[in-house]
Amino acid sequence: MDWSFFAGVVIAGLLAGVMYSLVAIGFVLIYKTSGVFNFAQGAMVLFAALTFVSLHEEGVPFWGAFAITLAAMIVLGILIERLVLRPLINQPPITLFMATLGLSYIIQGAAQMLWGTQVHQLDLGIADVPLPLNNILISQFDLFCAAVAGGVVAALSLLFRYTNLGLAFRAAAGDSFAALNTGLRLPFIWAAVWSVAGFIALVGGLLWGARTGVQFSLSLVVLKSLPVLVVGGFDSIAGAIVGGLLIGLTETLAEIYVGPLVGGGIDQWIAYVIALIFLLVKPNGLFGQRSVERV
Amino acid sequence: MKFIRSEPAAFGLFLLLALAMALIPSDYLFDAVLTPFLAVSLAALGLNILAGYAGQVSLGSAAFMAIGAFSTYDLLYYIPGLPLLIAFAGAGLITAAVALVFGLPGLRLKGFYLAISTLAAQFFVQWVFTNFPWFSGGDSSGVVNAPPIAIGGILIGSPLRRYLLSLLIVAVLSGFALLLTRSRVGQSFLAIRDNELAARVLGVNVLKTKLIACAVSGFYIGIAGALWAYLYVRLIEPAGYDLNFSFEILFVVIIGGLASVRGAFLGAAFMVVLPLALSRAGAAIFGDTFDSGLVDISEQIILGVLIILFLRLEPQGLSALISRLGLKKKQSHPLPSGVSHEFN
Amino acid sequence: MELALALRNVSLSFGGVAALRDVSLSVRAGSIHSIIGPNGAGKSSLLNVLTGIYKPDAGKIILAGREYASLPAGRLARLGLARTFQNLALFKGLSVLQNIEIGQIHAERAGTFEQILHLPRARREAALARQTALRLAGQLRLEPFLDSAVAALPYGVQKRVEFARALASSPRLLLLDEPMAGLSRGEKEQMHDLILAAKSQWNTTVVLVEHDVHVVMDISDHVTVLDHGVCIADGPPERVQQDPAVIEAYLGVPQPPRQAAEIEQAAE
Repeated sequence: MDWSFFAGVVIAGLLAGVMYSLVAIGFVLIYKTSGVFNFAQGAMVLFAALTFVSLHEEGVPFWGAFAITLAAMIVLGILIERLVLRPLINQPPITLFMATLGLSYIIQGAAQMLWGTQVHQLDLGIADVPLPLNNILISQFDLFCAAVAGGVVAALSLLFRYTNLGLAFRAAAGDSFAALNTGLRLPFIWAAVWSVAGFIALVGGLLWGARTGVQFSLSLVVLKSLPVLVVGGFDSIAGAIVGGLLIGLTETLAEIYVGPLVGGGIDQWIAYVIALIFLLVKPNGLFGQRSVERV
Repeated sequence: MKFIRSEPAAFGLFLLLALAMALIPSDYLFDAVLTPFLAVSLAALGLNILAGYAGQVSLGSAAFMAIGAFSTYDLLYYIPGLPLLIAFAGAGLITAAVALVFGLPGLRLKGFYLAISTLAAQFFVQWVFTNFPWFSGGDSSGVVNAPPIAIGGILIGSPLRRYLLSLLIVAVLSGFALLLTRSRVGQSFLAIRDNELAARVLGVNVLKTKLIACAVSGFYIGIAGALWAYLYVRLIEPAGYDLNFSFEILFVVIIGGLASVRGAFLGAAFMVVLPLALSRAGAAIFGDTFDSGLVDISEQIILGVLIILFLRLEPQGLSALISRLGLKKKQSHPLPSGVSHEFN
Repeated sequence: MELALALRNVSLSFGGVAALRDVSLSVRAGSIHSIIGPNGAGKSSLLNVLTGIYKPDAGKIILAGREYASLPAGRLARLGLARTFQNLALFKGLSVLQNIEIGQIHAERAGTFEQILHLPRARREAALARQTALRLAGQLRLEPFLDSAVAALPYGVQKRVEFARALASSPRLLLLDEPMAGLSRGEKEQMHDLILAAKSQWNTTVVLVEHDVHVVMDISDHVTVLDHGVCIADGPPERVQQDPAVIEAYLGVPQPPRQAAEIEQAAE
């Protein structure tokens, strides 16, 4: 048993997992504060990546493109909330899911129309060079992604727990009236929530896009966050982190070790099967609190 | 507000119209429009039984169609001499069984979780058929031509015959669906969808009813897959049953109308006709620059917009819109004029 | 004296907050028994225990002569228990008539295939259900609405439909969850008459959970008062009305709002 290889695989899996956590956290944030399932996350990530890449290709410097895209994301988020999510607020979550699916289709179509169908390369300036660490080879790029994602995750957790804004977010989830007691106005809170979601989508879009090229399978990444949420619990940030790591790790391990025996491709479905097992054994996920009624 | 729908009458009318279509001498009509329309309608009907009536949403319809297609192929390949219709029925039963296996975890919990287990089914099933050549009779190329088929010595080799066979199967199954939805079982589906707790307290056997919806839905979608593979594309290939296809069937159900037998047909008609109408309109307005790529893109955008509009404004879809306009007849797909002259 | 329903020392708590504490009550067959109490008293928890949604931490429930640690929600209809819901639990996809008909479903014996294929036994049962439903609709003056979709009807009418649906299951015990809520004065009188009719005409024991104390005192044979999950009074209306503990609970020392809200939230 080649332990250094194994360690390399484990680390690669965890690094991928951090990315999943990032996307899942955006989802949990919105859900915790507004009770809305934001499946538009996928569309938002795609939009963010595409906007950024096009600006960048036009020669706009990195931070300029970042700022403009962030602004666009905030506007997009607010539009989505107003036009799609809010009118459907009393519908069952599956209706919201389908509505945001429709949204993804619109964004994908519009993007293809404006920017063409080829894959756009996104160069963040980090070379994809393996970094030897104690005999273990780690991709420098993966490490960078994980560091950024991890940083954002950590920052968000702190924001949520320890700031006034975070307090307002949590209060808004339970009781809009109580949220007002924190001294922040409700529309501001919503705008802040969607801005954070937009920021996460942007970071996620950039990292994923740099990894795999900006293409339309990016929306599939977000679909993968569903198993993360099932494993971690829909309303827990800790759950999103742990769930993401778990899924990333298991996927990579399964693909590397079991994959060759069955022709590969296990990572296409293993996350969902894990989610399935969790549904049977621990339907609330590892950290979730909402009760899930059983027959 | 009147609540009764005159579905049997509409059904009869639809059948007459469909039979009348058989008189039109156009292979293109059968192969490119009517047969896929029937296959998609059947799949949408199956999904509708689960989603629209019992309120459980499946995101893996395409995978179940794949199971139906491959089951038919394997039954016919590994059991020489098996009659075609038995193979189709067998494929339906196999799909129903698999649907139950994947659906069971989700059914025991509240609605949204079925979405996850069917997603698992979608990716897993596609992977299995891609990676294990046994299902394709040992062929590992990923694409197999559907072998020629016959019923009782009559070769089903022409577009017309393929259309008639589809029509026969779809008509019988739709008739059964009408019976189902108008029975106490169908009412139980709606009761569970609208208020599961009240239904349970009244004595509805919730789990059993959900399983029935799951199994019937699987059966229908499996056969739809078999029709799609054998009578439309005439290929057995896993790649054709991807997530996008699942979403499209879901869209058919939403646009056509949830909890409505005719909704499946209306939605399917819309979906089949839309790309055709778009390429016409596009060519007419923009001329030669409007290529098939643009058709795909605009179709995507239009679908997305329509989904959101329908979900917001008319969750009962086209079916309800038509009721409201006072038109009780089941609409057959409106054909863009001139299509009968077109051969590609 | 036959008991339609009894609770013996039933306790229920959610994450440390006690919703019901050692509650006991006995409901005489054929009587109208009301359960009242201020907000957060535990009325909804009690109702949910009686509907089998919650399993008590301790105590027993006696229904139809048998003892249960918790009631099986799916078998309640067959045990003769029917209920209405405060927020109305009508089936929007079915018409008024269909809603009432489906109240009979627990008594139907035809199998799935028989029902789908509309075979004779299923058709007979459906016809029987229709007859019963039509009769009830007539008695509750719902004839003009039979084929309507329920969602568009006035609230008071919807409540009558739900009542009819509950009656359609031929219950021995009817649980009414805030039947007076949201009704106009005239509608309240109608509901008042319906409840009395349930007792006299349909021979059903009625258990009411209600906020409207006046109605309760007027209509009930027996009243149980809950406060903070504890039974503080139990007896005929005249006696309960005068009970100082009851008066204090309703008019006297105000409960700390946080606790009451906690209990209510936990009970949701």
